[in-house]
Amino acid sequence: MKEHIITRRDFLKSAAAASLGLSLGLPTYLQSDKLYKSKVVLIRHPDVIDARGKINQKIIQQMIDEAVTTFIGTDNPREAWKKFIKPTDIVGIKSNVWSYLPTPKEIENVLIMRIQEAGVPQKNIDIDDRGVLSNKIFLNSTALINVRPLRTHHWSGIGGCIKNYVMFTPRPADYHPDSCADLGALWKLPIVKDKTRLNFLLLLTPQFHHLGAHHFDSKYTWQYKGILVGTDPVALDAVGLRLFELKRREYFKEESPIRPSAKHVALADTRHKIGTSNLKEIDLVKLGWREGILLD
Amino acid sequence: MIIIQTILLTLFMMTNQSNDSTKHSMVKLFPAEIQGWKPDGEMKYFKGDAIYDYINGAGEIYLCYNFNSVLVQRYLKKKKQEILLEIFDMGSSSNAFGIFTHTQSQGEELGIGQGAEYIPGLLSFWKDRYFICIRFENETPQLRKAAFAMGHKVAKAIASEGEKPEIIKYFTDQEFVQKSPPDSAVWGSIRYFFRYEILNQHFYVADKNILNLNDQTPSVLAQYSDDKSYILLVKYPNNELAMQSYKNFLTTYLPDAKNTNIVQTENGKWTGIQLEGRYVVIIFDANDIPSVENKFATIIRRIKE
Repeated sequence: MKEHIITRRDFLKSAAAASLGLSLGLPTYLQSDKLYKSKVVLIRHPDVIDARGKINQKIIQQMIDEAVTTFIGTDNPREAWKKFIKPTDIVGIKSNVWSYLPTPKEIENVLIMRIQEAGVPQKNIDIDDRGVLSNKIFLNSTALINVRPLRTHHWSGIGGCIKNYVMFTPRPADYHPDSCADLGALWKLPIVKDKTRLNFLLLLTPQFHHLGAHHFDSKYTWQYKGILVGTDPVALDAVGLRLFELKRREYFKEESPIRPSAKHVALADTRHKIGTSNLKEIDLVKLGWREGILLD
Repeated sequence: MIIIQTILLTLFMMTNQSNDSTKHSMVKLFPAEIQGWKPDGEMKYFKGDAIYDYINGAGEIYLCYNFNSVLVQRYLKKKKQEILLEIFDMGSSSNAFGIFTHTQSQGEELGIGQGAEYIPGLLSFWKDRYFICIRFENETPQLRKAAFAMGHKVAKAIASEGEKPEIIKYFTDQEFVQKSPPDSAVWGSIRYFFRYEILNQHFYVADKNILNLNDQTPSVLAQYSDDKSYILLVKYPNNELAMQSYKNFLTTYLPDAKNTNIVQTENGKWTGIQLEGRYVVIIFDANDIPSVENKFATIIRRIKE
């Protein structure tokens, strides 16, 4: 059978037809045709970060609670978490320690508290990033919570929920070819397969542009003051990618596709079948602050 | 058996000695002190694939340019203002030049090393087989001044200059270099590379290596500053490989080309490919057929000169 090669011209054919294809850099025929919608909750609060950039612990807890309860359809945060976590679970919270934009401690505090309230003893909960493969909690985990900030990435287009699991392989380089096209395959590794109960893609101060290999410049972050919550990591990343597309258009005053294309998001759907990347198939529930939301 | 073991041991020792020698020569490039900033902690050394331990996925880019090793030293002043000095040994001046062009975004000439640029928080330059990055957070005039002083000192410590890859001589700054406005997303400049992964980072062509790029195929991608079209020039080791790649591109990327080598693509622009001995030239996104033909003629004339 002749190998199918995706060229730039496939992208050009579909670019005019679908805005999603534009954002993902992939032709529409590669996108999913699922019949159900993935639910994603976006919550924002104008005061979650103060003038000095410090996160308000009380407000961030309220945001997480409201998002999780809305996602599952209940009023009580403790009851909501019990839908995701059992007292017998061993829970690994996969964070991100990139020094310029790490998972904030204030969010980790809330997650630990709610998981403990779901009945999991503290000894069966841990947070880690680069050490997950030598962490006994992660090696024996029955449940994972995935939490990290969204940013552009020099090799994979964006660093989001899908890419956050690259530390679960001893050979990250195996996933680097073709701009990290197959990061979705990480989610089928035995150490993570079917264990992820919730994903939190943090949009508090996302980084929408970068220059150079691992460059950070606060000029290319903004206080969006939001969090995306859901069980589908691909859907969260697809919404995050759309947000970046809109932010870059606003900032650069022209279409400015992310380079390289974050094609791994669409391929996590179409090739690896771990979630939904088509925005038309994602039920985005918006809560809280609306000013500057972009995702209208 | 003993002879084989002796040979292997000798080779191992020679490799280790070579590594130590390389590392030692790099250590000497690090300044002892710059305007009050002094080394803090041990130097870190990463060789080959170990670069992933240092910069995760971004390490792939350096490996695409046949990266050899990197030495990293943190400098501190008053226990809080940090400058990070990274010296990458890229193995050859072509590779050092290549990684510099890959990361280059502003096109400014700073007079440090053989090419340098500064963006807030990062001064980078190349000289000989080295690519150097000087990083810091929260820019202040003092930090910026110290970073530039450090750059000059490191550049001076590298005694020799290296040659740029030969293929670059066909490209002039006047035609291609765009000085990006401060808030532009456009990455200007001329890119040198030899892997399709790098090509795709700057101009996505295909998800497979349809042009057979590898360590033996020096390549340049550049964007014309007038009509914003792109030129890709690849030099192959021999005419046969060039012909094979030319045909493969026609089949895969321009399957609708009938008795022609220039096609109007879905965005209304024109893309064409030309074979010239060991060279393949591709023009992407030109405004019309004469424009593609003129660009072919110009670059081929230079190749023949």
